[in-house]
Amino acid sequence: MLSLQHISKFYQVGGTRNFVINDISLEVEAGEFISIMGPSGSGKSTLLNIIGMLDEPSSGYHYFAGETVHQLKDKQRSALYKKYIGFVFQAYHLIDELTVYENIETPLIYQDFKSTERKAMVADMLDRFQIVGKKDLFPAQLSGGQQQLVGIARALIAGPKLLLADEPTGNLNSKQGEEIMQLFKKLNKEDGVTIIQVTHSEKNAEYGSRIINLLDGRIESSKQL
Amino acid sequence: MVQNYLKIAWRNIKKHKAFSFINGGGLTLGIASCLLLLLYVSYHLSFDHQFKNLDNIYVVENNQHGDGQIYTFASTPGVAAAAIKAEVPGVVQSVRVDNYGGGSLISYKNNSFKKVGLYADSAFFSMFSYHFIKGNPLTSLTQPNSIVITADFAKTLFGDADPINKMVTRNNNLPMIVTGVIDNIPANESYQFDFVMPYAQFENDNVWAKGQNWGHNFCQTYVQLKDVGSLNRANSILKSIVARHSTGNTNQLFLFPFSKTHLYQKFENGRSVGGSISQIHLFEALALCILLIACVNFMNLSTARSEERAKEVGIRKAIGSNRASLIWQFITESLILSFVSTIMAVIILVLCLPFFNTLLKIKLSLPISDWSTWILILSIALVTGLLSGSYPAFYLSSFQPIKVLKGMFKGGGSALPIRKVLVVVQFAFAVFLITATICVYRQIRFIQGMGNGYDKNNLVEIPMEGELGKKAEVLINELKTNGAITNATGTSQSITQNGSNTWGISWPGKDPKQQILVDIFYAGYDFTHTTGVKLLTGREFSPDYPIDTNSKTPTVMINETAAKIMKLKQPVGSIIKYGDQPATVVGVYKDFVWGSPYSKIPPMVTFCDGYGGSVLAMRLNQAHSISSNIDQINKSLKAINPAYPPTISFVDSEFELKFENEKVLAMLANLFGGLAIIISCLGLFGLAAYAAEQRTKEIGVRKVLGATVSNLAGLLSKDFLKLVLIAIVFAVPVSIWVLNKWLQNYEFRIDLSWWIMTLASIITIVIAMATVSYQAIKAALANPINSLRSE
Ligand SMILES: Nc1ncnc2c1ncn2[C@@H]1O[C@H](COP(=O)(O)OP(=O)(O)O)[C@@H](O)[C@H]1O
Ligand SMILES: [Mg+2]
Repeated sequence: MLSLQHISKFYQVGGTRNFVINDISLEVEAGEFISIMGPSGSGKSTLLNIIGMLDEPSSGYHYFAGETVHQLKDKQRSALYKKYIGFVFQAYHLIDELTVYENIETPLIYQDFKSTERKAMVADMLDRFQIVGKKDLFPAQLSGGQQQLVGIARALIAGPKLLLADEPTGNLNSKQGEEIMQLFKKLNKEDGVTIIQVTHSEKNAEYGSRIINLLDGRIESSKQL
Repeated sequence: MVQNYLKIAWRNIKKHKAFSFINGGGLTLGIASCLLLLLYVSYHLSFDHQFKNLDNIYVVENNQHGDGQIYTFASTPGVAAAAIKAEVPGVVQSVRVDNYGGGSLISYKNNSFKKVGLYADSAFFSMFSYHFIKGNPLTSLTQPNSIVITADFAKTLFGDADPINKMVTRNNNLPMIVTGVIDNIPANESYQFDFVMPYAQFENDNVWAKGQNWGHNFCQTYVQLKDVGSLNRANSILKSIVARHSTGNTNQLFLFPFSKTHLYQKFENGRSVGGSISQIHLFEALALCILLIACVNFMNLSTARSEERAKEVGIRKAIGSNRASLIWQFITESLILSFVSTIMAVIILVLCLPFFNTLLKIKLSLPISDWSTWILILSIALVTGLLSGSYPAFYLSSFQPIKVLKGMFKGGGSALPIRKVLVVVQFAFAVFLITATICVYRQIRFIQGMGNGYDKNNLVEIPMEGELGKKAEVLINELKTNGAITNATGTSQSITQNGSNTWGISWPGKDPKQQILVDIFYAGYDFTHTTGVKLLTGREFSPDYPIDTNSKTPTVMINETAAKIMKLKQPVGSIIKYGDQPATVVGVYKDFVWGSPYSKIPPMVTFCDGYGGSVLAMRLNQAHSISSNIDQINKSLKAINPAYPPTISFVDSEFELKFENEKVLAMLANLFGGLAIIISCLGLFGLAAYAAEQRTKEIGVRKVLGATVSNLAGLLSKDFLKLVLIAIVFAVPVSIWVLNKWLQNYEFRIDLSWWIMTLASIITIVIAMATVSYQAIKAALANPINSLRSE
């Protein structure tokens, strides 16, 4: 599904280059569920953002769904992103001014779905996450766990092939975290969504099919479960 | 998609009520001011523009050489019109118009009304396409006793009855027949009248105007050309037309577009050099500047909030929005606010117009039925929305989503300098407008303070019309006896209006080649006592000296300037000449302001008209109240001159009218300067609030560490004070330059002293600091624990 080859990312700090991602190569097959672990500052988020095309590597080759990402123009890249990728953030990042319903709906608007279609899809999603009763509330009126559910619902609404989640349970208690992991597992198994998550929890990491450990911008180890 | 933008935009506006109010309020004020100014400008630009043939109508201007200069005026010989029609190819028609003596008493049955009238040739209504409600424009003035009246006057005279062929009486003796009724004259037209009579009546009323005299300029002549192509040839013929008909006469006629007469009234050396049009351009610039200030505010406040909005931008990008749709979203928001503000502005405008109209004594109204008005208003809303929304839109949408989401975005790094520049520009503008206001007011005060040379208080004037022409002496004696007045004198016209002048005065020792324009003014007995003009030497006219009225060598008084120019050793007793007529100087009086208070007083010669004249000036008896004096005068007038409704004008208020134009200028500078400052302050208020909010945590920490409220207020105000100071540095030289240029228009003018600039600067600083410190103090007073907890 995607392939990173000799990807590096550095920041110029004063005269020296500070490598955050240092020559990483990684193949991901469709249907995989990968957990990325590593100490804080090891480059996990950066890697995830590069995979999700929200950030650009300084060098290296990036292929995704048969496209040569590093050669694409901004517009094409964002089209590719829209079509395949859903993103879940540790800090939820819901739009404060929009209701739960509208937050979930927004990606569909950007993908030019018709209003009737959108209605059906959002209703479906609300149902699935059992948050129908909350659809008219604003993010500020929800608990962290509920907000993250909305965040995930929003990431999934357009039916992405690849779900990227950066510490999705980082701000939740363990019970809420577990629910979300169950959800991911189900998505992966039943809907065939490829998932890459960043997590600090060994337990959550083990929901995945592969665990990659990062250290100082390199892959320190990779373990198939 | 659009629906989504609208929804979000509306929620954003609602969520940040104070912000939206300041932002939208500033825009509303800005747009309202801009529209008001544009309305004012278009009122003047459309002056005299209602006529169909406008592009081909010209007024005949007259260039007169003398004194090494060329004087240009729109007054021609009565014979010019016919000669032009006959001799100049391409002239479709020519018309003479005069309003001298046109004001008449028009009576129908038992009702009489004093109304303003014009004399005009019969082609008048085919040249000027006044709309006829009744009657035929082409034939309405052909009979010498016909009269065309306005709709309002028709209503006054006849009520709902058909006015056509009704007989009215003019000035109590002349029967006239109504041949036409036209629409009321719009306020923005040079000729304001209630009725028009045939030109023949003018010649009846003024016998001297008859005949083939090319040396006598007294009426306006209008010419309609076939097309613009005929203009050059017409002008070359007109240049010599006077000389051809009257040898030795050097006056040169030329055609000037009628549509331009209102705004291009200034001529120098025989050429048009503009006029009020420059003032109009000034107001256009002001309108644009105020709108720009409001837009600048909008951008300023919107970008100031960018940090908050940045997160939203980041998220939207991360869930699939592209840049274009983000830009549209922000522009939509800005458009909503600008449209709401525009609607509010139009409402405010409509509510304020009556007030503005009384203030400026004009008649502006929003031309609601004119689609171009709405297009203009819509495009102002659109342009304002786009202009003020585009910067935040492009700026905010350029954030890299991941940076924002990682919290690495530092608001304003790049926006701050621009925001500072904008604040500087706004306040520089404010300083300039305050300076201009002070300067214009000072200049008016200065001129008013120079004195007019007579005592304008307790002085009234009445027209000598009807019976009064013969019975002035009776009235004067009666009013003196019953104590209403102390003195009275007849004059050739109101002391507040200049009248005729002549090159034809000569005196012993005058260089025959030297041409000097001298004002001619007729006054009756008791002139200096009545008006308070100061007699310097000799005497004034008096019934005690029969030679004042019945001598072959009339007596004259002259003003101080005339005495100086004539360099007479002993003015009293000298003989001067008006043309070939010798006259004896009997007195010299101190100069008084007759025409413009802004220019030097010309030499003046005053002949005696005994108890005659066309205006009777009277000094009210201060022993009695003004109202009882006026009652007495009214009573006596009704008895002596029953046909005419009494019209008494107060010289002091007539004199004030001379300052009208400058007062309007000062008022507009004041009003719009004030508005510009309010708008700028709204912007500053918002920015200060934002700055305070941004530094809540810092303030909290500092407070915990022991900073006082004034420490903190100073900390927050300092940055803004710096900007205002920079603005002053820019504004002062510009103000000095512009205002000096303006003052050049006046012969008597104030110096732009340093204190005006200082005062304007201090006012600006005080206003700006009051605005900022409110926010600063509020922030400083807040409980630090709250602000620290908010992190
Ligand atoms: N814009 C930047 N400039 C300099 N250093 C950066 C920038 N963004 C991230 N970094 C550095 O990159 C490193 C990796 O960051 P990140 O990928 O967020 O780590 P993780 O998610 O594993 O905690 C950190 O040390 C961080 O300081
Ligand atoms: Mg991270």
